[in-house]
Amino acid sequence: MLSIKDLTAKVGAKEILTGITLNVKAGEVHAIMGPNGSGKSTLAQVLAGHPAYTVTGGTVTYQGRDLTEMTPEDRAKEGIFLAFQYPVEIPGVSNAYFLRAAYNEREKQAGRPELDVMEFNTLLKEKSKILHIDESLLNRPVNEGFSGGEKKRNEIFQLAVLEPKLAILDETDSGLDIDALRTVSDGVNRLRSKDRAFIVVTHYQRLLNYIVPDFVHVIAGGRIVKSGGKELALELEQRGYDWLKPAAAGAAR
Amino acid sequence: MSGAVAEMPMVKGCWPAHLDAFEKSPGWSAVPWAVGLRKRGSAAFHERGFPTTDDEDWRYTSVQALAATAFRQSLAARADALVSSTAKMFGFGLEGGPRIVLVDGFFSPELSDLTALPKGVRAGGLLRAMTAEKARVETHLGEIAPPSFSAFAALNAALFQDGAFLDVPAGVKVETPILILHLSHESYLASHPRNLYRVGAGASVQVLEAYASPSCDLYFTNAVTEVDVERGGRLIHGRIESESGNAFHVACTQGRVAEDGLWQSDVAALGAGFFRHDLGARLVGERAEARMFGLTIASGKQHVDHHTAIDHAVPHCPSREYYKAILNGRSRVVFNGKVYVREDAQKTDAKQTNRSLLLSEDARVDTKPQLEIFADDVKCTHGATVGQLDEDMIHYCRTRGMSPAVARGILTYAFARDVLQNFGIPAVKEHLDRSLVQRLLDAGRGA
Repeated sequence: MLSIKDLTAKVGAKEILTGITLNVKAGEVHAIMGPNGSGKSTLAQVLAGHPAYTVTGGTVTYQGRDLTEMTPEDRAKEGIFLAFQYPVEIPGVSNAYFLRAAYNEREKQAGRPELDVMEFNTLLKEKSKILHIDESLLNRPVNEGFSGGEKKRNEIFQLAVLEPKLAILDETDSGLDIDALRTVSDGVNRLRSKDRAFIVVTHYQRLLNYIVPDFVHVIAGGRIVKSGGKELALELEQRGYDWLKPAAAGAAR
Repeated sequence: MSGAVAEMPMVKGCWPAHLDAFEKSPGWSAVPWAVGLRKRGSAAFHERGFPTTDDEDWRYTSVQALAATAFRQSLAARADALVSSTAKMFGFGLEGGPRIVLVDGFFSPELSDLTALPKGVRAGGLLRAMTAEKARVETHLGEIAPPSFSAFAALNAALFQDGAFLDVPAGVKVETPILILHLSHESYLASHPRNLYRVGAGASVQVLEAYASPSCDLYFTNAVTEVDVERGGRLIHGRIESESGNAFHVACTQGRVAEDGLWQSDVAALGAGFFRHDLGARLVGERAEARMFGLTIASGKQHVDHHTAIDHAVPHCPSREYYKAILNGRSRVVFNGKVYVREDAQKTDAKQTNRSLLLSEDARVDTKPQLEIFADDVKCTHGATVGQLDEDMIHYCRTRGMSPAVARGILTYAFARDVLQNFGIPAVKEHLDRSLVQRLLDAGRGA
């Protein structure tokens, strides 16, 4: 589904990704871990097409297409979804209105008829039940005045409605207490399927107790320095990231 | 350099002639007790003429074009078939409810419908009320918005011939919102409607004062509205400016609120080529509250000027003000928000916010908060922003599949809706939401 090869990227003049290689197949869950400033969030932003980041080298192929040539909205319409670390507040527009606009853009792209307000509200209610989302959330302005946990839950709710093929969760666990973490993880687990891939970016192993990954990759210095199965996350929990840093430095030389 | 300063010639336009002609007509003294007010208005205008941009309150708003236009006087109401079909065009979400309709400044009993109002509520034309309800009108007329307020208030005091009158007696709660519809029909006509709303102790009412025209004529509406909210009374007061794009509209809306009373003003400035609104609230009893919400959507060469003032005269009064503007084309919007907190007005809680969204490089906003605080134990905040759409918001929308144009449209709509959702008459709020959504989506995406 997604094939990243020797990807390098910078923000401003600063090179942040120094050579990422990663393959993700449908149905797989990949965890991307790493210390602060390692580049893991940058990878998430680059995949979603944030204009502040410039790809300087390497290739990213998504479903046979050059992802770097696609606009953010085309990526979304083709099934890429980024759950933001810091979801943006949009006062004045309800979640329901916002999601319907997004949903219908995708339907238009796929040549399917757009859903009207009634039809879409029915869909929203179903999804909110599955994810145990309070229906009042649907009529509140997008993320405005939401608590940290509500914002993250809302991102997962959007994910559930937009049904992407590739979902990227950027530190969705940050700032969540244990109950919110469980709710969010439950939501993600319900959305796992053989057709859908996840890239879960996280600093802590804690989230991976709930969302059990197929692969764990450690990024340091802008590149993947170690890959393994879910047990790698436990090893990181015990040993920290320091033991991997020299390897990163060595490899970068 | 000579020490002498050349005096600017005073500009009075066609108005001395209007004043002169009206003074000789039966209308001038139709209500004898009002002649004094008319004379004060006439004298005040003759004395000061029109303001110039040297005048601090008119610095960003030139009335030159208005002053230079030769308007006709409105002499009598029209109630032909055309007018009656036009009146039905404008409901603003309040179709079928009670309505007071005025045509070119004159109350039209035929087009109005006041049958559904609760007992004791007096509603209709001001001219009739000045005689029939003299005691209820005389004490207020020209007292809350005196002729000395401005050249335009002075002209109105001298030249008004009718307007809307509403009196809700103590304790009466009017459930259905009342539409007060001012229609303008005639090209080059000047009308000076004058409205008076009284809300008695513990009474409550919702009023939508709307100014509309089916034409794109050039004309001039010079309105004055006086509001008196007595102890514990509640007035939700919508005001929609939806006139011809070639119209001039100058309005002076002044109110006073007694203890525990509430006056909420929701202004939607959508029409008129030139619109100036002086909105002022005096909080004269403890815990009296003023709320002012405003949404302006301007395009083309529209000029919209909001001058608001909230006067905290006594302690423990809250006030909230939230004005937003969306500008396209070469439009220009002015916001001046005065908040006075008098020496005695301790524990005042005042908040003012003004935000403007510039969708075009040629549009311009001048915003000026003006807080004058003479008490020391108060909470007063103000904030003003002028800017473009937020890039982070646009990107967020794009990651959800929206094109930049769609995202801009939605964010522009969101910008307006954020203030619109505060509007106090639900049916009007829904009407505006429905009728503005496409215009805002298009404006945002640059269509």
